[in-house]
Amino acid sequence: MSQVKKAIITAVCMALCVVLPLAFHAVPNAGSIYLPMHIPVLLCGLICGWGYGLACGVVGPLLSNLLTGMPPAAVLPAMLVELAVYGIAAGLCISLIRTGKLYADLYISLIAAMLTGRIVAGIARALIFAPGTMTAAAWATSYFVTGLPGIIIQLALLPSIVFALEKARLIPARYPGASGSQ
Amino acid sequence: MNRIPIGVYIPGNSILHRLDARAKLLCLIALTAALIYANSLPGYGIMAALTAILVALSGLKLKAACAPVKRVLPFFAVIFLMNALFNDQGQALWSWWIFNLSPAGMAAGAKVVLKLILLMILFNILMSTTAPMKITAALVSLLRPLGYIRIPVSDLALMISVALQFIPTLMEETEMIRKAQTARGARFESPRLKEKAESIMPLVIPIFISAFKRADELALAMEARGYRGGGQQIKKAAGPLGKSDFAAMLFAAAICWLQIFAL
Amino acid sequence: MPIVVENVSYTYAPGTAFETAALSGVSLTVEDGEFIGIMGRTGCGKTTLIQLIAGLLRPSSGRILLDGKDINAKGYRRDELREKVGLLFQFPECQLFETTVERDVAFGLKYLPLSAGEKEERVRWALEAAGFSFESIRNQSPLGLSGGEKRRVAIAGVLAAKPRILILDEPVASLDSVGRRDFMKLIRRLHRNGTTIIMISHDADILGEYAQRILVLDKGKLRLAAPVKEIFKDIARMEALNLDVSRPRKIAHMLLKKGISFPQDITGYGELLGAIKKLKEGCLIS
Repeated sequence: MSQVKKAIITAVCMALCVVLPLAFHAVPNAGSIYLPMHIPVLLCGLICGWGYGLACGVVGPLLSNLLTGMPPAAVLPAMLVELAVYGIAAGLCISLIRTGKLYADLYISLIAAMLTGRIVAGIARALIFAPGTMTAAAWATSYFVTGLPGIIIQLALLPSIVFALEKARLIPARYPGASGSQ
Repeated sequence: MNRIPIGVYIPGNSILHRLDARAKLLCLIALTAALIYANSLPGYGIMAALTAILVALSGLKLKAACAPVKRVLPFFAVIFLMNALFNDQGQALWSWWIFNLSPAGMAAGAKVVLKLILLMILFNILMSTTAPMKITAALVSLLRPLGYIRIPVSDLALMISVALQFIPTLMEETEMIRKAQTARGARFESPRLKEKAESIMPLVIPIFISAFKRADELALAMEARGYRGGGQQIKKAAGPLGKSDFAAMLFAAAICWLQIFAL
Repeated sequence: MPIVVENVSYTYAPGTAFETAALSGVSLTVEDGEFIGIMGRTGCGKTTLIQLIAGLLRPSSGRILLDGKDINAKGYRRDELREKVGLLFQFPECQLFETTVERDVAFGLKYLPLSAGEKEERVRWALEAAGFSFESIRNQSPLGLSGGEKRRVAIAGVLAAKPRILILDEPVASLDSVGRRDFMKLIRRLHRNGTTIIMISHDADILGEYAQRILVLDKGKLRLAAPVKEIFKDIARMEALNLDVSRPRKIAHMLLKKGISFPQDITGYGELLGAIKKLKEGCLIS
C-alpha cells in the first residue's frame, strides 16, 4: 500500500475515533463496555503499521476529547498511553506473526497488543496519577481485569472487520487465494 | 442520536475570534501554567475574573461556555470527595474507618475542582472561537521545529486535516446506517444484552466499509494529482502576527508570571 | 388500513444554533394498495417525511397513524411497525455486512416469529424476486459482489420481511436503463400483489409511468397532493417549484404548441403511443 493510502486510512481511523463513540451512544451503555475508540486504533496499527498506529492512538483520543468531550479530560492521559501502545503493538505483532491463516494472525496480534496495552497503561496510571496509593502491580492488574469485557468484544469485532474489508477489496488480502474466492 | 453539531466552533466576530490562532494557543498555554501555579486567594480570584471576562469577550453564552463542565460534574464530585475524605493533614472533623473529613482536605478538593473547571472553560473558549482548520495550521506552525528531530509534522498535519474533514461526513453516514438497519429490524435499544450485541456488527461493519471506501477514493485522487507523501510542506496560510496578538500574548505572559512569582 | 399523517412538523436540533424546520404542518393519507410518488427539490423534507412514516424519527408535533393507531404512542409495539413497513434507503448496498448473502438477507427476519424453514423460504423468494439464482448466490460474500448485485441483495433484504407498505428513497438512482426497467417491473409486481408503494423520485418519467398519486413537497410543506394526471397537467406550476414533468407529458405539450390537437392528460409512454396512433389514423400527418 502506498504511503498516501496509509496516511489517508490513518486519517479516516482518527476520524472514526471521534465518530464511533458517538455512534455507540445509539446503543445505550455500549460505550463504556465496548471501548469503541480502541477499534479504529487497533485496525490502523494492523493495516498500516506501527508508526501510523501510534499516530492514530495519540491523535484519535485527543481529537475526540477536543470535539466531543469524550473521553473526559481526566481519563485522557491514561487513554493516550494505552491507545498509543495498542497502535504500536498491533502494528509490530501483525508484521512479525505469519501463521498462514488470517484469523490466527489477527487473534494473536490483537491479544498481544491488548495485553501489552492494558498492562503498560495500568503501570503508567500508577506512576503518573497516583504514586504511592497502590502498588503498580495492583493498578496494572485491576486495569486489565476491568477491561476484560471490552477485550472480548474487540476480539470478536476486529477480525470480522478486517475480513469484510478484504472481501470488499478495500485492503490488500493478507493471504491471497486463501479460503473463499475473492 | 439526531444531528449532533460537530465541534464546538461557533462562527462569530468577537475580539477573540479575530486573534491569530497561534497567539491564542500560546496564550492558552501560558494561562494553563498560570492556573497550575495559582496558590492564593487573590490568585484564584484573578483567574476566575479573567475567565469570566474572556467568556464575555468571546460572545459565548454562559450556558454554552459551561456545558462541558456540566457533563463531568459527577467526576469532579468524586475528586472533591477523594481529597476531602482522604487528606491526612490537619485536624479531622469527622472520622470513620478509613475516611477522614477535614477542612484542609475540603479546601484542597475545592482548589483542584476550581482549577479544572476554569481550565475546561478556557479550552472551550479557544475551541469555540477558533475554526478547527486554523487550530491545526497553528499547531503545525508551532510544532515545525519538531521536524528537526524527524517527527513528520506536515504528514501529521495532513492526516489531522483530512480527519477533521471526514468527521461530519462519517457522522451523517453513521446516522444513515443506523436508521437503515433499524428499518430492517436491528434492535439497538433493546435492554437485552444479546440483542444489543447482535446490533453491533450491522452498525460497525458498514461504517468501516464506507469510511475505507472514501479513504480509497481520496487517496486515489491525491495520487493522481501528484501527492507522494512524506516531506511535503503545507502552504503557510497564516500571515504575520498583529498588534492585538502580541498584546494578548504579553498580557497572558504577565498573568502567568504573576501567578508563579508574585502571588 | 391507511397511513394517516396528521399535521406533522419536524425540527432538527431544536434549541441549538443549528435549529432547522424540516417539515411544517404536513397532513396526508395513503390508502392501502396505492402507488404514491413523492417529488421535491433537495432539502424539501422528503427523506424526513418517509423516516417519520417508518417510525425512525418522532414528529416534533402532530401524529402519525398506521391502521388507526398512533405509532409514537406509549405502548405501541415497534415490531408491529417493522413488520408492516419496509424502507429502502438510497444506495442501500451500504447496509450489507454479513459473511454470506443468505445471512444478510435473513437479517431482517431475525426477530420475526417464523420457523427456520419459513425463513429460508422467504430468503429464497426474496433473492429470486431480485433476479438471483438462490443456490448460486446464497453462500457468496455480499461485500465482494458487483455494485448492481449488491443493490439487488440489499433490496432482497428489505423484501424478505414481506412488508405491506414499501417505502423507497430514489431506488433507481445511478442504475442503468436495464437495471431500472427490471427494478420497476419488480415494484409493479409487488404493487399488483397488494403492496402499498411510496416512492421518492426526481425521475418524473418513472412516476408518470407507475405512480397513481403524487405528493409534492417544497421547503417542508406539502404543496400538492393529487393524481398524476392532475399534477403533470400544469407544467408551469411544476417548473415554478423547480420540478420536472414526465417526457410524454412534455411531448404532448410540445405537439399542442405546434397546433396539433393532442390530449393533454398523458403521463406515460404507453398513453403517448396510443394517442399518436389515434392521431395517425384520425388525421393527416404526412
